[in-house]
Amino acid sequence: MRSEKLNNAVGMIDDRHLERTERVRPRARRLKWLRWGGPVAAVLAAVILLTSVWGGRTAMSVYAISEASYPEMAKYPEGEDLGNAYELWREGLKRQRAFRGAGEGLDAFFLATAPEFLDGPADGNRVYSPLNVYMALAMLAEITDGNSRAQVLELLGASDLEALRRQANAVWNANYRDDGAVTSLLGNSLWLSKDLKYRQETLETLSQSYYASSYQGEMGSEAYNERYREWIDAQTGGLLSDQLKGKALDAETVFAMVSTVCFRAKWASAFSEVYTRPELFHAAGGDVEAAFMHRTETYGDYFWGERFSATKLDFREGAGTMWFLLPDEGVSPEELLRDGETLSFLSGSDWQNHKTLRVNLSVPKFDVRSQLDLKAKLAGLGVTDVFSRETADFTPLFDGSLPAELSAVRHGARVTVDEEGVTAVAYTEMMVAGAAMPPKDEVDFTLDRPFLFVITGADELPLFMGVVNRP
Amino acid sequence: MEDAAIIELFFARDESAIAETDRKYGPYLAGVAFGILRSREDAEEVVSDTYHGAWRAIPPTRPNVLRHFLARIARNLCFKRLEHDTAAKRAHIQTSLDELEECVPDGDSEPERLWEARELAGLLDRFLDGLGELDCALFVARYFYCQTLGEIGERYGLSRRSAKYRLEKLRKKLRKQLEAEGVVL
Repeated sequence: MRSEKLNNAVGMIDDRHLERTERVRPRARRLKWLRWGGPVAAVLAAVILLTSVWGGRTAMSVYAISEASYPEMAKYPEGEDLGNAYELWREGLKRQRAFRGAGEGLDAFFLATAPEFLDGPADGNRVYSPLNVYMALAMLAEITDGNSRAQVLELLGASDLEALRRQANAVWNANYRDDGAVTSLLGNSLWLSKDLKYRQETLETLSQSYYASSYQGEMGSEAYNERYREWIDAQTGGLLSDQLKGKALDAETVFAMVSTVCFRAKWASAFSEVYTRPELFHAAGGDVEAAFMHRTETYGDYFWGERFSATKLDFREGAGTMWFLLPDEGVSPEELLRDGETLSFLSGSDWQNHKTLRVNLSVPKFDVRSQLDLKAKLAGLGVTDVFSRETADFTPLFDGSLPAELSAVRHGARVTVDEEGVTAVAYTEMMVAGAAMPPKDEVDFTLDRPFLFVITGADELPLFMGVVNRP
Repeated sequence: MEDAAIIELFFARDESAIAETDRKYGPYLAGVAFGILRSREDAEEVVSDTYHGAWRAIPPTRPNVLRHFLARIARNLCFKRLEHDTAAKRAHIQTSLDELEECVPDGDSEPERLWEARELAGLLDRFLDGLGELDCALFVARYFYCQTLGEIGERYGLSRRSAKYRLEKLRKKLRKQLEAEGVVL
């Protein structure tokens, strides 16, 4: 057919015409979508709650002083309009890329806090979201002054409030994804007592720089507690609702600040349920049975140090990476977290001990959650003044003559990992199969004893870190 | 990762070139392949084969624009795949080919010579150079990316009818130009 020759010629037209085509701006219009229907590979959520006590209450309803509006993001393409939708979606992601590298210099904070916050008994699981706590502390710096603020700035490694504000805003944006395929959302909010005469400009700063919503209502009232729980549920997809039961704001609270992280993503290549089977996990207190997922990474990444070995799995659509660190026999995850070489590895320094090889990966399915009281731990890290009404300075938020102190800092988190991500399976596996010769070496990477994990987001900052002592 | 760095990975025979390419261009290529094949499964296979093709082609080739280089591989693979498909599966692409057939001069006279695809591409380049931005985009969207009239309308803010009308005019214009150049296929 003569048209086929012309069609072949169309396939050879010069790049400049393809570029011209891409420059023609699509008209903005709403696309039809289908969201992911299936379960997710990783569901993660964390909440940090800071409450400050003082007193007084009378009846009133709840109202929003300011509600944050998140940036609009083109949805991940599904359905018939795939060609166009991909382009719109890609353009949306460019906005995020502009914020890449925002977390430069935060390593010291992450590495100082992780060993402290994840330390604990050998029979418990613990989860910590470094970015979540960072965001909460950055907001704390905004609403404090004097030495209260200085101590927070020092822990965060920030030179001044303005620098911190810029960085926090960039970190927020760099980690923001809400396109239907990936959810990565850092939520922030402030809950004020009805009697509090707040400073509007501070709340505006929190809204603009931290995408924080602020509410005011009667502390201890059912209406306020309900709104409060609804907000957290909405931000974390309801995953932490059981942990938050009974955590209502009591009448003595002056204000509460809540930061959340919700991250959902599918594995770039899923585990097949066919290969999931019960096997023994050698926990500190004795063997326990767990459902182990199995997969072979033809071009897996294998890292090693003096006391650990590690591998990583990517999430779809550049959402981030999950790192698994397996301590050598006789080394606990908690010890590993205090090991200089391991911390150097976690800080993302250029690691020489790396090989691409066939990795036969065995990972137990897990659903780990923990509630950490960070008050004493933060005090141990030098943040002390905000915890005493004699020294706490909340003047940026309200009149300094009102004595108040930070009474609690609670951090709840949950990480669920399973096989899902079916849509992604064929994609990557097929890609790998035809790409090149398989590597000669291979390694069995079996997480059948307590291990560490780190989940880094699109900006390679640690969204979650955890110790799995018992899956 | 920048394109230049990805290309260097290919030159260094570093397999992470594939992963980096997939990370950066996987969704785009899936869109290109799906536009032609209209089958998600087939499109995924073509994307995978595209990486294989790139691995074999680079080196020695050093693409000017990696994104478009990959798109061409994917497009070629899609059409090769369609050669073996049933008429029902080709229905979508057949419409696009039928439209291109309209552009081909009758060729009643004895051809002095047959035009090769590469020469035709040069002629198409000149044809597209003479078009405005939107018309160029419409032509490329329809005949390079094989998008449907509905998709083109959606993307460029035109009604389906309007997109169809503009493309008809473009085909007539192309036919005239091909005739003027004495093209016989």
